[in-house]
Amino acid sequence: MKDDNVETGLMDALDARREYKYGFTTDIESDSFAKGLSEDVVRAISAKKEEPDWLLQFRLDAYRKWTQMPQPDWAQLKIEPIDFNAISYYSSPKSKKKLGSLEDVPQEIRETFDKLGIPLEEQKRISNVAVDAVFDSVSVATTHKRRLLEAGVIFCSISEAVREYPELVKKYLGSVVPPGDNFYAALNSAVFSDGSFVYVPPNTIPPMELSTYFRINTEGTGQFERTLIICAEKSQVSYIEGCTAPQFDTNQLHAAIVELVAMDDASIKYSTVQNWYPGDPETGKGGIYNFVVKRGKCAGKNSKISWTQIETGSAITWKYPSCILQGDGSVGEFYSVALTTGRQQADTGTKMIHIGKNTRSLIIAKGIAADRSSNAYRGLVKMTPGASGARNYTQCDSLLIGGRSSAHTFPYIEGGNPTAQVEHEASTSKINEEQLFYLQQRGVSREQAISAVINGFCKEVFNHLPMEFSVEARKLLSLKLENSVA
Amino acid sequence: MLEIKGLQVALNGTQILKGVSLTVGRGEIHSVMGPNGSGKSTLSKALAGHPSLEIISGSILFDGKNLLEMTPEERARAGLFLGYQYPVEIPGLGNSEFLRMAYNAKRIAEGKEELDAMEFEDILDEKMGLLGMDGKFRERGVNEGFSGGEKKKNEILQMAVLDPKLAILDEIDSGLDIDALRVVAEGVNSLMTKDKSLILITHYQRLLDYIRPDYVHVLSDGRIVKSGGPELAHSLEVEGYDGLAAGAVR
Amino acid sequence: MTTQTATVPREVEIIKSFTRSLAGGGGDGSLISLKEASIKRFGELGFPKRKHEMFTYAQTGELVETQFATSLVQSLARFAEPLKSHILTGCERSVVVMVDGYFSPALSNIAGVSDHVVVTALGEAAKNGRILAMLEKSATGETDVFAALNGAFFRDGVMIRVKPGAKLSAPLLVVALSSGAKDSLAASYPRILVEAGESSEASVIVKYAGFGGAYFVNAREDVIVGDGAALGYCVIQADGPESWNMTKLAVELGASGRFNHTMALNGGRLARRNIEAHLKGEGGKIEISGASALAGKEQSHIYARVYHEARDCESSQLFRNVVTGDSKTSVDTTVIVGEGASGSVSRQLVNALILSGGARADAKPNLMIYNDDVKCSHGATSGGVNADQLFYMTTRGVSRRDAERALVAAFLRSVTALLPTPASVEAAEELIVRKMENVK
Repeated sequence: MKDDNVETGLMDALDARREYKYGFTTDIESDSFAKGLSEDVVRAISAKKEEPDWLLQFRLDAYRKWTQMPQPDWAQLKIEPIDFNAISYYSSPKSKKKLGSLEDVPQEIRETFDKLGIPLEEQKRISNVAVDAVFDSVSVATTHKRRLLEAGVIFCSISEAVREYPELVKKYLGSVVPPGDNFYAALNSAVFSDGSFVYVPPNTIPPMELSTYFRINTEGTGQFERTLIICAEKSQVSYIEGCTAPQFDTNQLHAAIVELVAMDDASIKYSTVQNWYPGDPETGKGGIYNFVVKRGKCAGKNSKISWTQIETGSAITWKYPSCILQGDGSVGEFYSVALTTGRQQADTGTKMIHIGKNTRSLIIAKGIAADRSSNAYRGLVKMTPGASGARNYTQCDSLLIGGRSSAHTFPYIEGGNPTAQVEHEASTSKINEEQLFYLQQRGVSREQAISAVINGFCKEVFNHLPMEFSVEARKLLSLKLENSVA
Repeated sequence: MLEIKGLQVALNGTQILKGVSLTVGRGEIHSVMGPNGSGKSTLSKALAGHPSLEIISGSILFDGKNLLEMTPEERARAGLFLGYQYPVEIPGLGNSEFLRMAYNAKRIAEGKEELDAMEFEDILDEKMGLLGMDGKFRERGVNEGFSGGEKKKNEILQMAVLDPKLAILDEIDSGLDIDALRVVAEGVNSLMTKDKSLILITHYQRLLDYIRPDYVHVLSDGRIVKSGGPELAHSLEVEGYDGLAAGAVR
Repeated sequence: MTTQTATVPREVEIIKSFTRSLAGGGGDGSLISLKEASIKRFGELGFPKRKHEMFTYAQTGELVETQFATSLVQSLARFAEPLKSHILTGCERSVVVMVDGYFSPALSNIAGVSDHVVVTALGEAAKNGRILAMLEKSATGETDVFAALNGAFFRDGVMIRVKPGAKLSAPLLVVALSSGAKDSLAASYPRILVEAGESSEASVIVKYAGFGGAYFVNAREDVIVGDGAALGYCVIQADGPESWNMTKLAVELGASGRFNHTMALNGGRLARRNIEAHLKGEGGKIEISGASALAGKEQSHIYARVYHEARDCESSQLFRNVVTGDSKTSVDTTVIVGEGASGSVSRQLVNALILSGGARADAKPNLMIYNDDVKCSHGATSGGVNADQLFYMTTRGVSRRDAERALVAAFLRSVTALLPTPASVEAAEELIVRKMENVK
């Protein structure tokens, strides 16, 4: 996740705990707006960030559209109605209290870090522990940014991009997810705080993977994050969002937008490992609502956009990373593992819209539902009348663990062209007892056996994650399952 | 009968055949052998006219006609038959109905009248008898639920019904036990006359004990690296494809 | 056809016409409470507005706005001749006839199965408290607004009861014949209740057909399969392209019951079938297969919900649709496995062949699973004919066009071959397989 967001959020949560555990409160110097949303608030946000007028107009237009829209009502999700006037829409992360040492970080969180194998220095950094000169995340980030710029790759925050590269931002912002697209898109477009901006010039492959870990962030990112990635002709980029460390945040609603644009022969790979706080395992309260609109436009011929996601957190997850396959010969891919435990609810999937000729899409979605959670796959494969020669293959499988979880599959398959082919298959079952027994007979504990079987179930998806991430993701999954498999 | 010159073929952007040349005369039986990945099935697909192949360069003349400019159905009506390694199943389409369609398509191409169902049944009965095939195959869907051996026999039955000038049999022996192999081979042999030609694409030399080739060619890495008489097949059995490649390098 | 005036909502108009129809004597008195419960339910549900979950792909706007007169059967005579062509071979003495929604004992003949089957008018059957209670319960809990309409406006239906332990030697055919007229559009509401007694074995075929012009048939079929009974239930929907056909099948399956439902659908201006199946008894097994072939601007939609409510039940569904011209088809089918339904096994397969640029096929096979001890799977494909099969046939000299025609026929036959009798298979072939041969 983003450095500052983690730090701010973790600080709030740590302080909340400290308050509870040690019985005293700490003051955090903050600079936030009063709660509530109105046109004035939108103007104030824009003014605070010193934005140019065109961006203010973009926000206002989105806000006006938002006021006309009804909140979406998905039959499957049980949500407390969200009071949009109880949220503060701007908060500066200027002040971040630093902890004295790692001992000040709550035991639970330290244990998680250990289990996930996160190195000590990184633990310090994520927990905002006063860091000695040994590991300086800011300088590391600066080095990365310089290396990228040498290759011509721009990787900075959206706010910085608005200042330094306004033509690029203006051209592409809202081009893939128009503000009027849906309720949360409109909200985000009005009040987005910050996020990543990436531009890869033609014929370029960045010297490293882009990870939000290393983005320098001078503005706060909060719950309304906005990311824009543009990959020009014949270029490639691999972007990693998230990390396996548990993310706490007192802000309950996260409504982000991610827009990707790929030109002729360009390829964008976007990987996410998400582990937002899921809420109390018994009651489900306090968890984060993660509503994200992620969409990629394969604008150019033979362009490719590939989404890989490992979703293990949030109380409610509502996201459908999608691809608009506009360019002839373009390819869209979606690989997903969604694990729900406790009382989590996930409604996630993808949309592949085939528009150009000879386009291809591949969807591999694995859902695992344990405890009393609810896990739904919702996907759309649409073959428009012009999509000659298009091909889609979808495989979505669900695994149920324990008798009280539920798994749902809702695929929308829309065929409108005689030479476009769609092939969809799905299955739902419980974990295979025979496989477990076989492993246990070889001396493996039941917990490890379940972990192994589930890793096998998700293997295809894990294989599409960048290497180091893949190792972390496997561990994360095991960790989460540990508590769920009695 | 068939003249392949410098054929270069790619599949999904990868070049498989890198310059294959082969001449098959009337009444000749040729065998093309090679290890996995040598391009054997690509060669047979190229002869059949599979749409997924990209012909980079080269020519194929069949009876003096440019085969590469003919659609698959034109090639079939001109007398070319391909027996598949993995025949596709078509549930719901009766086997005899399908064979009648194919038979009549040929008759029309020859300027003859179509046969009706009854007339065709007589011909089909005769051919099935030759191959020792059970009558129940008639009504079942094309290759539907057929075992490997039954599918291969069905390919030969089609060959018997369509009476081609040149038959290319792609690994007709794969998946067959000794008895099935013998029946299939005998069926093929009975169909061969002095003016019919045959290309056997095979991995193992076993089939060639039953259907004696006049010429044997070795396909390796997309090219024919060695040609000879039937004794070449025996050397292959002894030395293996690796041995042969080593020999070729020398 | 008149267009409605903007101010009064259609629902209000229809409720008014219901009140008028009751005043004029709405058929058998024992059914009044059922009809009143239905019109009330209709008012609660209302016609689908945009983005209604039950009508995702079936646009009902035009149907809703169309004014239909209610059919009143004046004479049976004009039905006698058209009826003849619809009586399948082998069913001459096991046929029940409904004309414009009215059960006609005069045109029916069940001499061949009278030992095993009791056929009565629904009003008569509803005098039995158990039957009436069952009908009323389905009325108050109805989720489909068009089925609620049927519940309010049906005149009198027919109940067919297969005696417990009976084994029918011939299938029982129900012909629901609708008459159209050139200058008016009429709506009829056939209503059929079939009860298969415990351990009985029977086969029922329902044929929807019409003559004389376009019409709207809104039918309701209730089927109760008793414990251990096996019921084959086939529907041949043979209305013309200008007619409207909305049907709902509600079926309850008892323990170890078997229900095999096959359909051959010709579509129409708008044809939609709602199937709601409740597997209430342990070890029940339901198989549903349907095929449709559409041309021109025809439409055929399926909305199915199969509820596994008991242990160890098995359900399987197969839908195969061919669309040409500018026709549209959709299959929205959900299997719901309840918390107590361990050992459930379900399969759904939806295949569509899209043969022209203007045609459209949508599929939505859904799973909602609340129990972990299950094996549920589904698949869906859409596209043109199988390229490998097409290639194979062309390499045997068959022209692309002939090959494609043969493959389309094979595709449809894989379902029509499942119909219960040779006569019904032939009827289905004539209706949809040969239809495709003539299209291209």
